[in-house]
Amino acid sequence: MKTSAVNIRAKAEVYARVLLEAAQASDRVFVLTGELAELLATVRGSLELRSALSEATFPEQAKKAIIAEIFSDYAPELLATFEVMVERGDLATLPRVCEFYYALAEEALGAIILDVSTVVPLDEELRQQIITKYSSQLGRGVLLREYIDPDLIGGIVLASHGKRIDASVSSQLENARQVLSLSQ
Amino acid sequence: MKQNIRLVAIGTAAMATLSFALPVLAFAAEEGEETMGIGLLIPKPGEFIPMLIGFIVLWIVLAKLAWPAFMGMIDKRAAKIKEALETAENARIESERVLEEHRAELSRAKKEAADIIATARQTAESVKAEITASAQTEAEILIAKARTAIEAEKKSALAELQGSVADMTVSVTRKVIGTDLSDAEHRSIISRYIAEAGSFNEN
Amino acid sequence: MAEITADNIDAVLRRQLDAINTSVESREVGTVIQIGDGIARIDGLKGAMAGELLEFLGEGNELVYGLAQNLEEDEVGAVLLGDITTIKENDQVRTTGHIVEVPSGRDFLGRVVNPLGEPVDGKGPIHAEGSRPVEFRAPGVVERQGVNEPVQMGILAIDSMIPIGRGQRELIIGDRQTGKTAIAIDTIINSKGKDLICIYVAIGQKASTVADVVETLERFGAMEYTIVVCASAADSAPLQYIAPMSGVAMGEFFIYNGADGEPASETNPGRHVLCVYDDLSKQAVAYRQMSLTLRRPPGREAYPGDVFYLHSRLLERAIKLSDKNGAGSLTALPIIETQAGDISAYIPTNVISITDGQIFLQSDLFFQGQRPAVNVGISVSRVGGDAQIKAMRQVAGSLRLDLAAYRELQAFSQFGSDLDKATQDQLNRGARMTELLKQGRYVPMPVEEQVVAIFAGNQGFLDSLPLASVLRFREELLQFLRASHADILEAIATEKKLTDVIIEQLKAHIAGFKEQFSVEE
Repeated sequence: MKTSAVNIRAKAEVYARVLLEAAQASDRVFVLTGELAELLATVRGSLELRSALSEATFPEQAKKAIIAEIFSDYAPELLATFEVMVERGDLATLPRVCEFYYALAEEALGAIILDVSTVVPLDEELRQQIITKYSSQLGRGVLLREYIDPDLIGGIVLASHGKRIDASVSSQLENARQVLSLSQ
Repeated sequence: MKQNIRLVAIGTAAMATLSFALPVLAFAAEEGEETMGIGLLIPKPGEFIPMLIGFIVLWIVLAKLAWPAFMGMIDKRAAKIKEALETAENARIESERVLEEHRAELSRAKKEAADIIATARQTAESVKAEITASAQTEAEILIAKARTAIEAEKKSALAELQGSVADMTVSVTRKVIGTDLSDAEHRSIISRYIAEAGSFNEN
Repeated sequence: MAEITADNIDAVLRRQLDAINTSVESREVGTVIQIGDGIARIDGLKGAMAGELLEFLGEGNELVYGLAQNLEEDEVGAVLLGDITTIKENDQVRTTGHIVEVPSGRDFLGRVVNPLGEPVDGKGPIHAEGSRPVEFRAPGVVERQGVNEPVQMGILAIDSMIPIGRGQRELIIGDRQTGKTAIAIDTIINSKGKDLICIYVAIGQKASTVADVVETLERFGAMEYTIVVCASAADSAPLQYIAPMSGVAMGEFFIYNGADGEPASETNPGRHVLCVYDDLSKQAVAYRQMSLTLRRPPGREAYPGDVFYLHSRLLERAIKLSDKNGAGSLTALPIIETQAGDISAYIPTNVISITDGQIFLQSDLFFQGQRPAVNVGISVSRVGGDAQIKAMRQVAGSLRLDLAAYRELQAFSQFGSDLDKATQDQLNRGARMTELLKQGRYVPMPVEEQVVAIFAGNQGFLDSLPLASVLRFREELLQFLRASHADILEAIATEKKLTDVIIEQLKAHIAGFKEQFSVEE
């Protein structure tokens, strides 16, 4: 049965609110934003996983085992919510849940979450630099979620709300390569 | 004139006929002449009158009956001859005209033939010129095409070379930067980029 | 092209890196959630525009372009223009902030490119003088003027009775194998030296067919003023869909720019362009596929509802610009393939109603040996008459009447054999005129020769010839005139009308030629 868009939104909102409340109870609101994003990426990235989890004939126990196996590192409240989603066949709501949770979490935290990828770990000075620059720009507090990505070679990539500032050496080199090979 | 000759001839013929018709009278006259000398020469009225009357009667009969038929025949014949002459004359004129015509035709044909040959020659000339010109332009086009092909080949080779040089440069740079930068250097780059980076609020 | 040296690379690299460093701006980024059938569904990209160009970052940082099509509440449906296989789920998608553009310029002439303007003929990169948007709103009424110059297709049957003007949209419609492409190719070949840039857009054809066309054009020296845009049957549906638009966009570069590459104006006249879309039915099919996979609701014959608008906005870009705008022109020759002569199908009716006339090709005529198989009875050109030269108008009027009478009588005369002299004469004339209109492939006729040929027919010079000798008579007569009386052909071409003097001379020459023409071979 295909769920309508309105239906999905309503369900997603329910999931997101419950998840937020649970996270607030265990004081893991911020951590969960990252884990939820990773979870979404993992689910999206694997067709096998998606089809296994949404297969109606598959026993619930097996699905739970899969979830426990793959996402064992994640917070228990997130895993519990996800298990309910899988059980009720609401896997399609996951992207919306993620979106809603983000919005709710930012509201609850009173800050905007900024994904920062670099090659080397940030030091305090750089963190401050980023926070001051963007909190003044965005007019709200800024929370950094840091990732280490050696593929960047150097520089920094900032992302928030579907927008991205790519100041990495690798993308600049890529641009340079294109310009060089196409320029006459 | 002809008429007169004819009359005389007819007269003579009539006399002869008359003398045949009256053989007895003629014989009697002969006898009279022999006997009277000169009297022979002078017509004797006794003989003369009937003979004259006979002659006149014969003359009248002949003139009335034979003469027109005779004359008709003569006329017809004359007309025939005249006609034949005329036809001959016409035929001659006609043949002369035809000959003339043929001659003209011939000369015209000759001229036409010459014209056709001239035209054909001219046509051939222009066709030849055309073919030569087109062959020449074709050759030129071929050369130009070959030249552009070479140019294109060169261009694509250069582009390929440029591409591979760019690729190589970048990958070398990538390696050098990736391995050679210290943490501190990385951080200074990051710091510089943060300062330069744009804002999320734009666009 | 600059020579590549170490210094050069260094300098360029520095310059480019500097340029990049100062332009690190935020860009919208989304992720691919589903991919298949040449379309991608993307999460995010809330700021994407309809028809915007998207960059997909595939495997190994390979850039694949896409076209944002469906803007939904939560996601964006996009079609992919490049290699689909390198993209997978979770890949990044970026907006570019501009709609799809194709490069164009004088260097494109003589080249074969794909719908994105990339060369596919292996002759190296092409230097683009500029670029034009693929989707472009056609100029309004004020910027245009009426069609007033002929295209001269070089085909007797068309130039005489279905004349096409520069800036017109004339549909070529017919079943498969009726010579639709041949007409378009003949037109391109005949455009040599007529200041007409030709763009041949091949949509959904076999690559070998396109190669044939290119080879033919090259053989007749027509490639030097032609661009071939090729979206072959192997290319994805989106590429086939944008092919006609990118073709016309490349053409627009020439009408909005003068011969020197500067924008066209009153003093710098724009060029004249002829765009052949071969064929739009395949484009419609590609669009249908795209729309169905994007889950747009299907309409009649499963085509999406906006397929009419798709074609009308494409053909509306055919234009004759006003003198103030450089007086350039873009003539569109769309081709539509019908199935079993059915012109009442959806796409044919649509395009017939959009265009300024149509050339009907019929397979039965084709197999009767009447080639080009143009049905002159139902083919029309709604605006081209104004563009015809006067000499042609003088002779074509009676040709049209002769043929109309012939068709009428032909149908009628099949019932009885006792015909009066006048009827027989008319049938006789009609048969010879029909024969006269036959023409081989790749032998376009200049307009003055067409005028002479039709004139000879109108004046009854053909009536006494056996039907089989008509074509030979036409050829030899024209050859004769070209060789011996080129001046009269020139006079027609320059004066553009048949003056009394020319008529007398022509009559004399044709009569003279006929005398020496031998009927038996």
